[in-house]
Amino acid sequence: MHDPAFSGRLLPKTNPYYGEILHYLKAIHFAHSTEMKNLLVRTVNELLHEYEENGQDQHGKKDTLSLRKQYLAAPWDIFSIGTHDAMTSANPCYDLPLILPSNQCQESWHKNLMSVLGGKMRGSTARISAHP
Amino acid sequence: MEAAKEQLRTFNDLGKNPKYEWIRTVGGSADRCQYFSCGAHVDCPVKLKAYIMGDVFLLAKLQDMDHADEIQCYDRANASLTKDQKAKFKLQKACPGATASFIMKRDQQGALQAGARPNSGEEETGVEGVAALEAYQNQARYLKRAGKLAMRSAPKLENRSDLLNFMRANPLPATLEEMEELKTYTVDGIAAIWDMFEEADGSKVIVVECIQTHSNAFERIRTHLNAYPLHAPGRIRMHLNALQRIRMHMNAFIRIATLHSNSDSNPCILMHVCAFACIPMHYAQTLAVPLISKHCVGWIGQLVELTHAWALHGDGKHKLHIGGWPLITWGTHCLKWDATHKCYRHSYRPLIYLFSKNVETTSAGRMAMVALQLVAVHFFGKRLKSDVNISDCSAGLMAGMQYLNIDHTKPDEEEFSTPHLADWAHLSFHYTEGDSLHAHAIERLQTHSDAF
Repeated sequence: MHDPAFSGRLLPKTNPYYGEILHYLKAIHFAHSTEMKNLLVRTVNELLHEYEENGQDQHGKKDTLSLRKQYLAAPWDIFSIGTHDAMTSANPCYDLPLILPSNQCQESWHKNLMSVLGGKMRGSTARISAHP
Repeated sequence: MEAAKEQLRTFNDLGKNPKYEWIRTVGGSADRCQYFSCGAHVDCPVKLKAYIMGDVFLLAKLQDMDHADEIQCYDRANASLTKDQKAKFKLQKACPGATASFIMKRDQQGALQAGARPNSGEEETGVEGVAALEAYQNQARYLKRAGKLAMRSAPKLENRSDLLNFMRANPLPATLEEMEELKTYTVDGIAAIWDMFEEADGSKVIVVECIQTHSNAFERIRTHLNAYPLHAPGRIRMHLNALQRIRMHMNAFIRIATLHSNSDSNPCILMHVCAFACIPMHYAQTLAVPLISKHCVGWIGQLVELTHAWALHGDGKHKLHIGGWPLITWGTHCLKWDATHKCYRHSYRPLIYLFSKNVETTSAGRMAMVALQLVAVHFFGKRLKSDVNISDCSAGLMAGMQYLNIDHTKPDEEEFSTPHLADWAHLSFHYTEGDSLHAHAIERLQTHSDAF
């Protein structure tokens, strides 16, 4: 039975590997260089592939394979803070200090905007999709 | 005595009472004679007598005395806000969403930038010269009780037709000085030449069709000239001249507005086939309205002069939409000191808003990027150049944002070379959504937490 409390948009929380993958993703996020990020992504991919082949059963539509395809493969495996830190890159134009791969500030601004508007302009994704 | 009051509203005593502030004082009678004193200065000795002699209304100074030197800033003895502050507050409060706290913080920021210092000592909060929050809240309550809180006459924005009407009515001004605070403008090169026509059948709909080349645009207009001979040639010439002008200065492409029947009951402007608007794009089937405010232009002006790297953020908010056109924003961030938590935080600075029927597509993103460059070149004569783009996993946003660094005046420059980063906040939030974990997952999570 579908239980929203256990559902995850990327991976169900009932997945036996849910907890550890969160740490793997965080480790990739905190990688200090592109090379380190690439190494971690490759290692995590291999590990998850091993889980898919010989590990426990993963129920539901979303499993580690779909997660890997979306976030641990090009072009979206670029959420590491060290990707453009210029510490190891030969291209100096990639020196981007204090720039994080995160839209947190924008998400927060959107949230604030919704509270300021007080219900105006508020709709739902379903309503938008209904429009031609 | 209504005539007396009417005349007092235009009597400034040779400019010494510039805002016509006259306060009625005791004495006189209700219908024959009344006395007024100057309300523009503190303890001002100037007094006026308004009286009726026969059928003639007369206004006279009681004594030929000069006005006092000290300007009266407050309208009441125990008022917390000055008259200017109240007038400014009333103007700002008329904008939707502007709370007393929000207005006070903006005043504090303005005062700090002007050199004021934060209050010290017993008054640990606030800024010198800016009243406390209670004063702003009291004024807000007074305006509400007195019914003086007239909301700014904003156009009704409920459907797509309203949005396009707004686009026509709020074109981007020629200069930065002409832009008003707290108002958005559409980034539309020649929105001012849009025109309205009344058709005999009373059609009240807009559908905009995009075309790809200049020659097609000219061809459509020529066809229109033959099909609609009622229009004066002068009007058509104006459009053609504007088209030529746009071609020269912007090398932009033209999209033609066409009429279609629609059952939409809300009235909207009627655009004829020949009424066209220049949207900076050269791709078809994109319906979107780029909006910008004076604040956004201010951020853009700083970015074009910036010597170090900056990031361009892009994200859509489906829960905010007008008639099914969701809001997509692009902007950058700066570091802002969080006095409460004693740390620097990333603070978002929006550069452009886009209401797009196409949602997060490449064409919508491209349209916004070219509109951004249009604004940058229009006001500052320089192009924007982001050093990295950041978005969630949207291929349309990723591709569209690349167009910021592509100069359309150079056809050969069609390389996507700007680094792009994925949104970790999006990933972590969606991964950890929900509040329960499977017991087995909790156990493994604990094990790995210890290991890390």
